[in-house]
Amino acid sequence: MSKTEMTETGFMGRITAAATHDMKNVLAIIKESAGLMEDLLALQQGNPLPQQERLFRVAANIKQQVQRGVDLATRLNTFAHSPDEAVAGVDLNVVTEQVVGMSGRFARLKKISVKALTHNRPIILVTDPLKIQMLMFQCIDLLLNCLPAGTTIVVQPVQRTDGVTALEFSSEQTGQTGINEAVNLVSLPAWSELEGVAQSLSGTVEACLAPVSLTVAFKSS
Amino acid sequence: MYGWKILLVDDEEDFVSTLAERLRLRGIEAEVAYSGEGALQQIAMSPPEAVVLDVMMPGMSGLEVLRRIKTDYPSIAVILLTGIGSTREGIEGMRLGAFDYLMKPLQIEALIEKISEALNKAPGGNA
Repeated sequence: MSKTEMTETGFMGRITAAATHDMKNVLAIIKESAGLMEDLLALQQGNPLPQQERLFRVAANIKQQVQRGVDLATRLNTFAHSPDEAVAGVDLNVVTEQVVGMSGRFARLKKISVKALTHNRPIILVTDPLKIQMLMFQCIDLLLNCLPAGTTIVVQPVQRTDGVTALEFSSEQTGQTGINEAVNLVSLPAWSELEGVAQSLSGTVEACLAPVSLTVAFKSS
Repeated sequence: MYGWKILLVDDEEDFVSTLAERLRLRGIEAEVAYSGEGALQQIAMSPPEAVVLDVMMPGMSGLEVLRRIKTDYPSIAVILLTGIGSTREGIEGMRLGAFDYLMKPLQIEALIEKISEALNKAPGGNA
């Protein structure tokens, strides 16, 4: 595709990326304003204002929430840039952190936690940077809809010695509830959709029991 | 008290004016400019020891301002401010002679430390 053509996803990405840039500027102003409030309060130390400590706590809370906003905006900006290239070398460690971060809210609603288990060594897969994230999210979403509250889903990229690059989605749970439902993963309508997306990326997907897990594998070309 | 003279350049007026006020409370003489063109005019009238410069501004870009500063005032240390999506410009800026770049929002302590490092390493550094 030429640089002048714009896809719907490219359009959405470009607008979102610009908006996140502005969001960070807004957050920077809020952060500096809270910082200035702290500075001015500190000048009053010899003659404290009423509620001085409370105001310090408020300023600290604003800065904490700003950091949370910055993390969200940074993640959203990275995501928005995903459609910039149709095919690119993607470090699965980075993408895993990204998708796990974006899945957090969906997991919290199910009272399930999702964790990334990544490695210092890059695990590069040449693929569609947006679609691989969609596939990973679909895997997490499938598990979120089958596993019981209290479960932890661990997402891990793996580079096998046989040249296969894989993404493993395992579950850790204390009770036995949910395992029977998870057996039926492959019979769910979402399963065939998942398989289709994996195949479009030249990958295969498998489900296992005990512990419940999903593996997406890509053979190196 | 640091005794430095700094110019902060960013089109986000509330951001840069609040940051300047915080630096002044720490004894740093901080002036502001809201555009690249305005920054170059202020530098011509009264050169600072260091410039803290946003890379993404309407009109003259931060990198263009950096080029002109490094051509006309090579002893002025320049620290770039980048946002998400402009890290590439930060790296390009270092190639053009910027001392370093910091990502917005920033920690004021990190900025002061960076200015101190830059002034120590600049020709005739006095930090």
